[in-house]
Amino acid sequence: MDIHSYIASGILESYVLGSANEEEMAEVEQMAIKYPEIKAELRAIEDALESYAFTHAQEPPAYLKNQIWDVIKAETTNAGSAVRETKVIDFIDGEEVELTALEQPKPNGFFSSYIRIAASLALLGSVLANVYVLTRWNASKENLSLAINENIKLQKELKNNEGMMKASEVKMLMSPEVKTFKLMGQKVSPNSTVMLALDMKTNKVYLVRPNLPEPPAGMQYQLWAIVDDKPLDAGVFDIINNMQELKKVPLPKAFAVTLEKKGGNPVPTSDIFVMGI
Amino acid sequence: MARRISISEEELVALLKDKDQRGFNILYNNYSGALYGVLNKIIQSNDDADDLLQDTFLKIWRNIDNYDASKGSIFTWMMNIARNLAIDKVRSVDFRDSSQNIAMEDKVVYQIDSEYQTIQEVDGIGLQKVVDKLKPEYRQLIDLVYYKGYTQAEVAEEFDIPLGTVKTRIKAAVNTLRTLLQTLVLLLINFL
Repeated sequence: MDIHSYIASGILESYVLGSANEEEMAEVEQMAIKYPEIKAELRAIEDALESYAFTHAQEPPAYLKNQIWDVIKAETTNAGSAVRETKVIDFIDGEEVELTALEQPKPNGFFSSYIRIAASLALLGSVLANVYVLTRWNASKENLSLAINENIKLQKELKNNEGMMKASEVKMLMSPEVKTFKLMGQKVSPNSTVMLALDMKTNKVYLVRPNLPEPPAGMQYQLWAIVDDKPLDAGVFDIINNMQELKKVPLPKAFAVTLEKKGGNPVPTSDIFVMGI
Repeated sequence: MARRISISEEELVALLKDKDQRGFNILYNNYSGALYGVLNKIIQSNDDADDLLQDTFLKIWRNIDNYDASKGSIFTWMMNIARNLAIDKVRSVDFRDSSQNIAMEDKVVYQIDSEYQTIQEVDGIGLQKVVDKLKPEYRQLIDLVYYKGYTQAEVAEEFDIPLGTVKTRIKAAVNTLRTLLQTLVLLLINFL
């Protein structure tokens, strides 16, 4: 079974969208168990559609939550198996504490990015406060020392932000002419990823942030564009935390990265580290 | 809308199987908005959507032992439950009897996104911008199949295009969505 043509057939999308028939569903489930690549592809489609569904989220009326829980509780109690209710009693006054108040959400992953945005805004606020303090430093030595401390803290924070994307890079990535590719780790380096951006107008390929192991001395990673089923040299690169411009290539079928001698080879000689379409 | 509570899918499923109220609280907190949005899109009537949301959570609660993580994510499973309940409702006799609803069926296709104000405050801001970049034809296709429960053959018939083309376009639509989302994730990672 050719996994790639199976993925390309669109059946995985049908499965997640709920439009596959029973026979197809059983087949997809079998294939996902057999081939990790299909399983990963399936999960990526699920995640994309989940995010899509979340863009249409609407808040249900507030009373519904308790109403639904009451129905569940009543039903489960009738069936003879009690639900496990979590009651929290306040230590001091003995009153029952509303559970939802205690469950302060701890966001992570994708959505915590907003927390990071908030942190960035907080940082900006901190910078502004710092400027304010500096303008008044003649008036008060205490303020001066405050500002110095704040500055040291900020410099530390700024250092932590090294490798942050520049506005011009973000703009480039969001431009409609630019196609992005996520290269996923292969057998030799399953946890590696590389993000690429191909400017369809200039055909220049940019390496956004390589996440690959440090290459041994005298070696460099080399990017290949698979065009007409042949690997085309797209340039060598180093592991740095900034965007790197590589060679010009036409829109390829896929991209792959191998480990080659410093300066690169005319044809790939090592295993593929990451690859993506 | 409340922020999503951080929990792995395995932990959440374990709590639900254990009939633990915390499981319900987290499930409701994390997914009621998305599921309610889906139901509203299909049913376009708030009262019915309220009932259906209750039915959906009851069904999830009763059937959690049938959820098989090897077959897909918890959200895909819940989404299927919600969508099937809503589609059954839309196709049911008493729902169709109301003439206003029959007329609705036709307009839904074209107004799918304009009707409801979506919640964007917390989870939506970046995502919404990304989804707005999706071509309208692509969004319509995804909405028809994902939300309205059209089979690909029905889409082909409705728009008088070959079934093969429908498949290719759906694939392209989902792929575009994935690329857009990847870019978004990449941009947000850099706020760390």
